[in-house]
Amino acid sequence: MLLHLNTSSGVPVYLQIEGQVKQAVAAGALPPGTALPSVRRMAAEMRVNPNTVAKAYQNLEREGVIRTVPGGGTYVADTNPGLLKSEKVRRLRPIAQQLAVESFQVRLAPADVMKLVEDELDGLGGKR
Amino acid sequence: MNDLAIHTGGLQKFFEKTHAVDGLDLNVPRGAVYAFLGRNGAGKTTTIKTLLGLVRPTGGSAQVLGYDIGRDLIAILERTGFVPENKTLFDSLTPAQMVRFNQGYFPKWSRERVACYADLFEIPMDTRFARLSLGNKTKVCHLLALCQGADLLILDEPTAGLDPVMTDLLLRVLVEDHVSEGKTVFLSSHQITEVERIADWVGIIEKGRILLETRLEEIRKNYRLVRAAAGSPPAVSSPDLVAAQRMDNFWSYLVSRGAEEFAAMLSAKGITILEISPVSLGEVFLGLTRKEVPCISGKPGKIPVPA
Amino acid sequence: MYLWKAWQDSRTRVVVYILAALCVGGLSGLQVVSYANYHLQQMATPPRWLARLSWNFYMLITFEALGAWVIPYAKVAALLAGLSLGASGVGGEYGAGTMPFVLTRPAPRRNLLFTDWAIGLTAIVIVVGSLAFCVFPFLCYARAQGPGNVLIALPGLWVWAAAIYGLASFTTLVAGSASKGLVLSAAVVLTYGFLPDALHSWWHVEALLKARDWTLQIFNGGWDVFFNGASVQFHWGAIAFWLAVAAGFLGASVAWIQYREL
Repeated sequence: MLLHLNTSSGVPVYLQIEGQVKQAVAAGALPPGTALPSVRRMAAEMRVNPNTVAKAYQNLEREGVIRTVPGGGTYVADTNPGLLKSEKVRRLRPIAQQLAVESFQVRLAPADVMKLVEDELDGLGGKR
Repeated sequence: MNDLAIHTGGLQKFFEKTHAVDGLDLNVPRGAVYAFLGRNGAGKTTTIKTLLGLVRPTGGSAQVLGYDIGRDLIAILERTGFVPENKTLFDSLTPAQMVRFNQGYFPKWSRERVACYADLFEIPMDTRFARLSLGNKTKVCHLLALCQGADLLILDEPTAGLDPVMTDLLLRVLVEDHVSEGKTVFLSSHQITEVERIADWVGIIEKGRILLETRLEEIRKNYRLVRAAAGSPPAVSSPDLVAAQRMDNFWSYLVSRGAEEFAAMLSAKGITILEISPVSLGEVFLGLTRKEVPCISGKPGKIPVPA
Repeated sequence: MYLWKAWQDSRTRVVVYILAALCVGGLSGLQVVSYANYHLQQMATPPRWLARLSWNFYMLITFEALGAWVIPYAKVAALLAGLSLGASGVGGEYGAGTMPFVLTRPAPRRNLLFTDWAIGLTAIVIVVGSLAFCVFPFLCYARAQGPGNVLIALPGLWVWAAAIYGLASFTTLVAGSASKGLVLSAAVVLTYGFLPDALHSWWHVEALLKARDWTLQIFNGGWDVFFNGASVQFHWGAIAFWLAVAAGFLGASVAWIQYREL
């Protein structure tokens, strides 16, 4: 399982790991029941401190994204719709922020910004 | 101190003209990856030499793995793997012979690791040391330290001379074969970005004293860069202000905690806040040790010790 | 460990010296035999085969005669081997920059010196000894008499060589490099050789000269024995002196390596 780490983004490593695991789960690349690499292996692959990976795994487990089996092994948990929604919102927030800043720059009224977004969403059609 | 791999109390080393180490209090927890950062001449190498018995301290105390450096040096050396700054070994021996030489000293020597690393790092085991390139010499030094079965690794500039691929491999090997087994790694390096990835503790030394010693987690959670725009130099002071830098009408303040409150304080003075962003370890290091340019006003406050 | 490494460093040198000593010793032996033959030719009247049976001939080719030739060579061999082997010891590691590595191995520092000295002294014993002993075949061929002064002179030579080794080892340690150590020790040896004479000639100071000559008694047993029939003695005092000097250098080296910082 390959994760990409951006060391200069300012986002803490453990958050990046959590985010990418959640993304993969959300996109269906990690179906429920798939085994995740051990902390040790993940840390080695990514060249980061094992404590960081351990922390990410702990957080993911607390949020119900993954579960650990007594006797070792970490697996993707069954999908939790509530969690996924909060993840989606979280993911989109930076884009929304950027949109807000740009609209301010060009002085587009909030109502027009909303219309713009709705138009785009309608354009996507039945994909939701 | 059984839970500390390295502990120094007021360590001092005075040379004729300089105080290389001047009251150093170092605390390296067992199992940590500790990044020991400092400018050239700050006392890093002298500290390391003192821990390994190459130099006798003028004052203070130091324990490594629970053993005192004055009384039980050999016990320390049996359990510590050392890669010196100057990667010189015996010119007339080949790496294979160096391995034979070294393994006799360490009962926990691992021949499997020698074979594995020699292959992984592409070390020419049968070329005499004098004929090896700097990169290969560095790799041999690492080989000798990593196969010892040491509880503590002290690495002085470990990545100097290594190409990016080998640096990457070294980091991987350190994480997988040492950190994951609970061994302590004490790294002194100028390559802050690389060190930042695998470190969980940092200690910054300046003029022979510790300027900052904290978990990297603290830095990520609490240290922030507050960027602001102000017409005239704002009069700000705060015990959490670490460094301030100015370019024209733009200011950036490095605060060790309470960034939101600090920004609020600036806002209250009518200063526009542009951004509050996290900082990398390199930026914290520079903020703390950079030479002050005279045109910066806004004096850095005293560095607070995180709880 | 360090013993193996020190041997690796020295072994070429030691082998060369032993070969050189064997050659020199062999040549000395030939010299002794040819000298005896020459004297035989001077004894005109009796037929050669008869003369060979006389005790005069045997007196010529004795171990005493050997002493006359071999001891001067052995003196030079001991000096060169002592200086050279001593200078190639631990001290050189400072100059080579390998001392931080060597001193962070988990072993007491004094062991480095003991290892060095073990190899160096063994080499010296072999080199100096081989010079003397390799002439034995020649003497057996000439049916020489008695063990003679060579064996008695050997301990003195060995101890003196050990002292020279100690000097070179200590100066190399202090100076930090083999070349500086060699120069320093050569200077000390020359001073020891010439200063007492100079003092005697210029300022008529006899004491130093007498003291030095007393210590160098171990080299007696050359020509004076051969020509004057003097008996060769075991100079206990001088041997003890050089032993003390060697031990002193070892002690000084150990103290120095414990004290010195990097």
